[in-house]
Amino acid sequence: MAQDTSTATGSPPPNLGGWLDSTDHKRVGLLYVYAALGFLVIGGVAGFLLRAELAETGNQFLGDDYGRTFSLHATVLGVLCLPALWVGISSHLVPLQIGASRVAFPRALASSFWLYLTGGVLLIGTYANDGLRIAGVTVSAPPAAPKGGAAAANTLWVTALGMVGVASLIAAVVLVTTVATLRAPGMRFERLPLFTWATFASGLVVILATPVLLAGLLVAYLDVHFGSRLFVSDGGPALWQHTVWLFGRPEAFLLLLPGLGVACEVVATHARRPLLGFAAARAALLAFAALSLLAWASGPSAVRAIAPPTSTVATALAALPLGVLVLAWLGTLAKGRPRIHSSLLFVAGAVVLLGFAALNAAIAAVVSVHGTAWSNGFLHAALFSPPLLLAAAALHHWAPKLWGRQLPGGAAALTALLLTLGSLVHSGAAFLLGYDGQPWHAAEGDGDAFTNLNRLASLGGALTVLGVILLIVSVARVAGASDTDDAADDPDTVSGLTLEWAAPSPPPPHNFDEVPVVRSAEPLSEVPA
Amino acid sequence: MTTLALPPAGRERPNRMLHVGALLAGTSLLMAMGALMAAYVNVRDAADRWPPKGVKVDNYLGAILLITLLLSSALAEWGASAARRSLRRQALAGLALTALMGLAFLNGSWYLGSRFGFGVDSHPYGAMAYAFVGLSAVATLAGIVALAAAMVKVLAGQADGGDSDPARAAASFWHFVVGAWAIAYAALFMVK
Repeated sequence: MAQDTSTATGSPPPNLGGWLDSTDHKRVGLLYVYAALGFLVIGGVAGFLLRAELAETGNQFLGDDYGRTFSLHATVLGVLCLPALWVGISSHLVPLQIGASRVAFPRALASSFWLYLTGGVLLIGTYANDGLRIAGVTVSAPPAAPKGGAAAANTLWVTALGMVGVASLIAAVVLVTTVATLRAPGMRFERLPLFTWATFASGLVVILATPVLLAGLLVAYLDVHFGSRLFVSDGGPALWQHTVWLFGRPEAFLLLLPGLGVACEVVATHARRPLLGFAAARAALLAFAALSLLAWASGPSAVRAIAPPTSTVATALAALPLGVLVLAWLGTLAKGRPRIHSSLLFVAGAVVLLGFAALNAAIAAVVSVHGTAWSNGFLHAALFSPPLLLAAAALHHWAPKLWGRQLPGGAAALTALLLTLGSLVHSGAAFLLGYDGQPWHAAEGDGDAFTNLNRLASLGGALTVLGVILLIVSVARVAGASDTDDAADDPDTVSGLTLEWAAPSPPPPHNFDEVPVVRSAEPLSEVPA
Repeated sequence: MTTLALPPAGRERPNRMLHVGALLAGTSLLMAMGALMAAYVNVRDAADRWPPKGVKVDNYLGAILLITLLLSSALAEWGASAARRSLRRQALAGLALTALMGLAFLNGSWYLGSRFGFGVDSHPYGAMAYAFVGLSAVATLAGIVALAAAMVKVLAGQADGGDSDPARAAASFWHFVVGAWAIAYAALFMVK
């Protein structure tokens, strides 16, 4: 039986004003999710254009704009889309998981969203300027300080990226403070749900790493706006790389870390038993966060490439916690009574892709692939697609809490298939191109030798884009529905053991009528059937 | 719609929320200043001559500013401690004097900048000096705003006794502001 949202949640009927001035963590979280999905479309279109140019030798419709389009694609997906998707999902769910009625600083969280959105729109706007000469998070050169309108574009680019950085810092402070101070009685740190734990660990790393980027952007601003020449003086370019990299390396790990927490929740919920090796999984998530900071020290040779071969000890160590987590998931599924849910398909896709990336990283340890299209394959197989799949898993798993309805299962299965298959084909072709020696930033498929593989990569890119479109259509349909569905709380479909499942779907503004007492890591296991 | 029945736990108690937030924000500030320090040492090592020719470092003014802030840190602690003991007038005095010394620091920073004798675009040292002083000034301004907010809470009777979180948070953040200038001072006036 369907219910009107307003009566189901006790909240006023949704209207535009209610969204614009809301400080409810659930609405702000959804705003983050919608904005991130919007940026996903922009980044995806840019990526599709890049792949279309490379699909056939002689395609030149991007021409001189290839480099700028590439930077737009990477910056939007790596900075504006995936991190914001996690902030949105975390903002919505973490208070529910810890039994809180709100986040620590609701106005600060809402402000962070508007700052992020404004910064993101400005950042994309700067790419419209032909003279933009930026490095961003993808290229090693510091921002240049050209004359005329280009200087204004560069200044705006630095400012906009700084706004997004400050926004993510504020969101991290809010989420970490929420977990540290607003837990329900009895919810000790060792009883935190693993998604909340992963969010907490991610937040701590953001608080440590993002200020380094912001300090670098401050000096970059002095360079491009006031004409100081710090980053182009002796030692300046290397300094810029370190400044960006001390943020960029942890950031690359943090795109995945909350997703690993999601996978723990999804597997435990749908295996219908507590996660096997809960303490080990918790330690693995924390170790993954700590290693993300160590990854900066993977060696000077790694500074110039965003995804260098992972043969350095500091980065290869990250595989250990990942291995522990995968074993925990497999063991839980083997010992539980698994039921098929769409979110499990996304998790499976992510695991397949991470395994594929690990295999190629091992090959790259003995084959020279530096500066080739191999990095493109690794970026998509390890750093972009698994986080996207795990974010999609989170949206499907917690759809009842987010929207009061389940996302359609059939479309979800097709989405998971398209995203996984598309990413496998795309990154697989890119890996092969890398082993054949095609340069990474080649704006032109170099003759017949690479053409077929480039076509294959473009086909994979197209499948991924189709998957993204399907995901967004599914979310739009459910988010746009004016009623909720009682089946959203059907224990046969979802019956998690963490606190968010104790709240109605969707939760009311105050989340819980009574603040619950927690006595274990699976508080709902104590509730009599 | 189902709601599972967990045992209720009574009123939710925000426990030192502002204080924890202030500690995290302060940590971010120190990380940013640390990054500038690392950049400073890096550029200094790469330069042929450091500080560049013609740059005269005014150690005296830098030290005065540091002493001003160190004293203000003690005052902030006094204010927070008084708030915890519900000594409202003392709390107000401590926080207000801290803010006043913060304003004096801002004034001194402005004076320091005006006496540099070089511009932000003169050389890498200039860029670093203005970055250090600018970031310190922004942090100080944020600290003063936090102190003002805490004073309003104290005046309204919402920050004493067991609920002195706003005063505690403002004082703790202020210590980080002082730490930020200590890093700037170490770079610009001690390492040189």
